[in-house]
Amino acid sequence: MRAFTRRRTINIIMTLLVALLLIGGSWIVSHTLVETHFLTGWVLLVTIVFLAAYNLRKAFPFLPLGTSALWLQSHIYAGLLSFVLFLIHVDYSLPNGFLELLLASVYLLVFGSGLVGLYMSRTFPKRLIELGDEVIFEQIPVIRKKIQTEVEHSILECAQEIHGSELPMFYRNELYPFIMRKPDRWSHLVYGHSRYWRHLQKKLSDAKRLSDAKRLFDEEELKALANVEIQLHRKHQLDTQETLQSALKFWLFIHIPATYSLLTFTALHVVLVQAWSGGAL
Amino acid sequence: MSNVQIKRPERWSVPFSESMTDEDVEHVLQMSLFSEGMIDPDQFGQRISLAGILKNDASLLKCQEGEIIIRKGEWGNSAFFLLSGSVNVVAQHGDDSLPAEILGRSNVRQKSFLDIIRQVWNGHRQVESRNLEKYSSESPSSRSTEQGTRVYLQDFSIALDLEKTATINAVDFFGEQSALGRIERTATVIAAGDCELLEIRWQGIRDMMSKAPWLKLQIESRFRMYGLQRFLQASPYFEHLLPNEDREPEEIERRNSLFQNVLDDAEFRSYGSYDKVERFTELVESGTASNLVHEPLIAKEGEYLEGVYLIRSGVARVSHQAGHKHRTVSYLTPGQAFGVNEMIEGWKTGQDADLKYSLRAVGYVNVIFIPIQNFEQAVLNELMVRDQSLSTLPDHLASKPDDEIGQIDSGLLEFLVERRFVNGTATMVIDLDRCTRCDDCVKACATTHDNNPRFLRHGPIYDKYMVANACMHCADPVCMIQCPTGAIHRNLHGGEVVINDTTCIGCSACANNCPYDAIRMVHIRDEQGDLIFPTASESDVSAPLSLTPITKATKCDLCAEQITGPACQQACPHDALVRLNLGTSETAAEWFNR
Ligand code: HEM
Ligand code: SF4
Ligand code: SF4
Ligand code: SF4
Repeated sequence: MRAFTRRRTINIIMTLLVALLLIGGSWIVSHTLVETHFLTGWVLLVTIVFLAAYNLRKAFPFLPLGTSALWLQSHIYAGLLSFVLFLIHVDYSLPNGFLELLLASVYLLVFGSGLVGLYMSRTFPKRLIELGDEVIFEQIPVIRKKIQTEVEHSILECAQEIHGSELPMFYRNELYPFIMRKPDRWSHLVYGHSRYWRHLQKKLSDAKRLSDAKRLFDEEELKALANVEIQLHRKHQLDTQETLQSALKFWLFIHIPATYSLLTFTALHVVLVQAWSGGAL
Repeated sequence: MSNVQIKRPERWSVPFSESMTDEDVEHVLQMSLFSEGMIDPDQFGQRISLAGILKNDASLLKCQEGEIIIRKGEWGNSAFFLLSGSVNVVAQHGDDSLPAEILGRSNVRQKSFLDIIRQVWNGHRQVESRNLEKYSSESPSSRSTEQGTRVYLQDFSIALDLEKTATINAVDFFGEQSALGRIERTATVIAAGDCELLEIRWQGIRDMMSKAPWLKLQIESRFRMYGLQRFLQASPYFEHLLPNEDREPEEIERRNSLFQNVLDDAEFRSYGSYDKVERFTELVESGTASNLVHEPLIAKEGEYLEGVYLIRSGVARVSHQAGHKHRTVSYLTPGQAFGVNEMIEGWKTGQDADLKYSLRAVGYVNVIFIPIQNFEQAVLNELMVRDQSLSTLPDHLASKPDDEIGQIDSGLLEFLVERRFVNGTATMVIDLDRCTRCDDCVKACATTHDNNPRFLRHGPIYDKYMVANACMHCADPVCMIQCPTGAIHRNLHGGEVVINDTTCIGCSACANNCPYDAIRMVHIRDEQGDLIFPTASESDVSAPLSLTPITKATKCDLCAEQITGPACQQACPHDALVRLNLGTSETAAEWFNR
């Protein structure tokens, strides 16, 4: 990890230096008679095109264009700098034309999703390994089905052996809804567990307490229940897996389409501005 | 009849060749090799009789002119007795040797820039789709026999530059050096006319050697003459003894005689069982792999140092006892030495040195043992006193001091050694702490391989490291044993283990032999996506010969054709995936400790 920390420190320092240079430079230029918006606009455009070009790099893995990791590093820091450029370009305030406002919002959407994505990319992997079993995203439905079958098998087996067992009823009323429940995404994302899980655990411990007082399950049933509990825990972890993994995929569904909208609106913006200024440049 | 059950060797429960009949055994026993005392059947015991070896460990081959018997660079676990006729040996290096295509290999080169670009639109939509034209033009001529498919050179005399070949005539043997030493075949052998060969697997040769002094002597003297000499010459420890034009003739002579002494006294030793290579995964599953009882001791910690051990093939574990536990401190791969540091220490203090660590065979290991006097005289005295008056050997010769060994976390080391991942020269390791599961690596592999990814982003995990299911391009590629056509081979240019799709006959030998499950057998399809069935004859293409579709072996080729190198590694945005050479623990440690 030391190497990554060093890389990050160096990159952040460099980025800050460039940001200061940009701010200072633009301040100086703005005190001359030159129109700065064209200049900062073009620089911002080039930066955005470079940032968007990462999508192309990914499409052609066989071309000697440099490693994707190197691209991502440049992407992140150029992305951060683009925000500085953006602020300079809009004079540190919200624009007022409709297209300009739209353009600024789309930019902020791309930028914001980038930040969120970066945060998730750097923190979620660690949370994923803590969950134990490594699962391939596409196989999650299969594993989920397997868990359900296993639980039902345990319950059925127990019910066949013990006449009049309460276990199937308990399963139907308390466990089945949890097993069939879609992941409770938000709480998995933020807290790493679902509130239904806590609720379920309470039910389970209540059941065990009742059994201790010889009022619910006998020893055999408790054994089956213990086995079921392990599976329920797996299902809960699988929900976290699915939530984190889909979040890691989902943010790109905002970042990339928004990038294309940004490029489109930017083109429109450039054409209009050029027409307005009568081709001053 | 006595009731005493004779315990047959375990390997005999699966004979080497199903087609070896009792008549064949009888026939072979009549031949001069066995009837004239070179290998005397009477010397063999009841338990492992010569007839038993012939029946269970051997296969009788009748070859025709031009048939390829062994190919240079392949791996084999058998040796050949030439019973009648003669064979040609082509051993030259480089341009003189036979073209790769003739040996069933492809000459994998990097694609041209244009071909690289073409991958943008040339990919097939169907899985495992092939252009069928290439199979008709390039396939080698082959012949099916009871022993399997054999490939022969079409135009024998043209293909072979007879001046550059040596001939072996009956009765003689060949191929035993690489079978016993588990190293690559060093020459290609082709039948020079009709000939009869007895192919014997390694275990059979070993048993025959122990009962036939003539054979043992022959094999050992050949080993000293070729194998050992070549090995020692290539070892950095003896580099300074090799002839060098800058030196005086007397000096060359003196160094030469030192080298000769080493050569005379060096011993070849092998440890561990050769036939259990495939079974280590079972040991791992059952949790007994870390039980070092399974690993034969080569040298024991605390005992008096008798000499230096140079690893010739296989992987050896260096361990240190702490309480009742053996802690793995590092592992050694071919070319590396054990005991050098202790020897230097003892030499300096003038006292007997004790070993600080134990050395054990992980699987099957061959070592060259150099006795203490020879090593002191030829290496320590020469390098440390005569040449430079050094206080210790240069870094690359002295193994690292204690605090620097074990740079890799010992649990991780244990995991890598236990599962034999250390065999890999390009093991795919993924740092799960950084991997966002984006599958860019899989997509890149698919894009560079006609939309068929050649690995699975899944595999055993230790701590935060996953060793993914991708061919590791082993230092010791057991997958190459038994390929009948030579389709699986080491690429001449980069040394990657690659499969020639054209000459692969889909027999699954490689897939069954790879202990890491890195080879997938796939049904291939034509450009329309239909399965392909073998046809009865070339004239009547429409008549299917069999109802089983054609399969081919596929695996990671380390992107040998790409100009970028491994696309998976290049495509990982988060520096999570690497192709690691685990050949030495030091280089691997650099990545693990980054
Ligand atoms: C504002 C202009 C930006 C544009 C036009 C842009 C565009 C893109 C594009 C086209 C990709 C390629 C995605 C793919 O093909 O898979 C990408 C990936 C990415 N961007 Fe941005 N981006 C911008 C800003 C940012 C910022 C400010 C950050 C964070 C600081 C960021 C973080 C990322 C990350 C982490 C990825 C790749 C992640 C992955 O593949 O796992 N981006 N961006
Ligand atoms: S196929 Fe298997 S045995 Fe062969 S080189 Fe790859 S990992 Fe090693
Ligand atoms: S090296 Fe190439 S063929 Fe091998 S797994 Fe990586 S991308 Fe696939
Ligand atoms: S490309 Fe890298 S981060 Fe993405 S799945 Fe592969 S190893 Fe993980």
